[in-house]
Amino acid sequence: MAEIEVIHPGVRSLVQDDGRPGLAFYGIPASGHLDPDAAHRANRVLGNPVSSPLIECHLVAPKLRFRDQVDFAVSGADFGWALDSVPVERDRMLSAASGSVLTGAGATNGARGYVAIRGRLDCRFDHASAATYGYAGLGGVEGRPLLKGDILRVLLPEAAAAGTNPGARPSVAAIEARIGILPGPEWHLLTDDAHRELLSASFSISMNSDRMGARLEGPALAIRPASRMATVPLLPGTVQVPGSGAPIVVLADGQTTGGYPRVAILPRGELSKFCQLLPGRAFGFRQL
Amino acid sequence: MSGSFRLLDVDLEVLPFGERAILLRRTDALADPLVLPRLGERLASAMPDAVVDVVATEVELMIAGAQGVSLERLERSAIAALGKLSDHPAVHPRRFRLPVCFESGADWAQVERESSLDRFAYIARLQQVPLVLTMYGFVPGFLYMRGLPEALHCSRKAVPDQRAEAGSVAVGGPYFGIYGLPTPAGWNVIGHTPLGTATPRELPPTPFRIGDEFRVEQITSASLDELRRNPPSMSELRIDG
Repeated sequence: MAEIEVIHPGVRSLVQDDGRPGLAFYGIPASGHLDPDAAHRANRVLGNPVSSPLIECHLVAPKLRFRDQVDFAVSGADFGWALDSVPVERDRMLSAASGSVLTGAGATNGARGYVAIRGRLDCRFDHASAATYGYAGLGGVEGRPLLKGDILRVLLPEAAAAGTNPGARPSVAAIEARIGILPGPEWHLLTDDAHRELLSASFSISMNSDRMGARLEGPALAIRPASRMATVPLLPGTVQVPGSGAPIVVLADGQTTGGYPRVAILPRGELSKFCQLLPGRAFGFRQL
Repeated sequence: MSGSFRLLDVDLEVLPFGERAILLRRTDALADPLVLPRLGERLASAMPDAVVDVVATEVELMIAGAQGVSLERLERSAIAALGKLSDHPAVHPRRFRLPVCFESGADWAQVERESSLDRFAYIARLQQVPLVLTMYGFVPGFLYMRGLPEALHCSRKAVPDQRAEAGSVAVGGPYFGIYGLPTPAGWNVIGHTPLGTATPRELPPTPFRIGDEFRVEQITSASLDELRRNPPSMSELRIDG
């Protein structure tokens, strides 16, 4: 068993895996990685099962001390990762000596990154998943993001390291500024002008966002009154527009039902790209 | 998409919802509003081939497919599974008291404005009607209840609040609801209950079932504090023996 000490948790670092789909009927969202490709890449280079629990980092890197020797990998956005102040590359198996410290800074070309350890992270499983769902205290480390002083334990594999090719990492240019959307069931509740605005205006993700939903800043969209609409199902990627006209994009921890119009929906691949947009970064939507 | 069809005396239309889910939407009047939630419950407990998730509300049943499954295949699988479900006999509902303290509801001003009732009249009317748990959803432990007379309906907020504490009771559209966990809230909070409705590490994540009936019972803030310290048991809350 190797130990990793959380010296500083960054903005929000928390354990994730492929999530717990299949429970949305009960109001339990699937949760899971916001950038599954990046998370799987980190596990793949280590020879871990791709769905192994790892640490998802948001906006600012955590500071971690490897109390014992481990192999690890980082992936996703560029957090300027360094081990004992020596820069390290993403998407490669890296070796950490006992006592070494992993640091990083603010993410620069994306919003989310991953730290995976070769072996198996010892964490809480709820409904067969270690994905942290903070609102209900499920998964991860006591159902919450990492805190300063947390000690993470990793069961080390017996066999020697046998990582595999991570696959191509999308280039920085691929973190697109135009996110594809499909019309949603209440697309018709937007006025014609609002349709045009949705597909041409500039938006950004508000800092007032989390893994449940991304609130957007930008023009208020004119929507026909629906304040007494029946409650309807939601999926991650749904774009809701409440009466204020300010869109909210439902994310992996998002509510499973809601009463605001569902004007559009981001398909899975577009949602991953969207989740790599830094708050404040301008982007637009395009119709698929 | 096949368009419309009829299932268990309910008219439904099929719509796509993104690239990996379909919606079965009721097109008839809600003679029995619990039909889709009950069907959803049975589908969710034994998901057919190609289906990875089910969400049921009174008006729509959402069925999400595994990656790579076409919407056409998803529709065939879902309709075949639903067609095998025979009419579910109505379960004798359980009846519970629902103690609520209305003294610190943050959104009474909006509710009074929309209903044109002062809060005392609103509370009096609320206590006269049975409320029925009709859907799960939103977050685990959130209970959607129907039964509010139209005069007591209230629009959802244009900008949802950041946080309603666990135990908040609220009105949104035609529904009365209980927030089992502290979460963002788009409904109008009118009070607080000491009842714990959320047990998220269990399945189902609540001790209450679809079809359960509730009668609101006004309590003081002193009683609220006392009941929070010593929560009533399920049997103490039952009013049907």
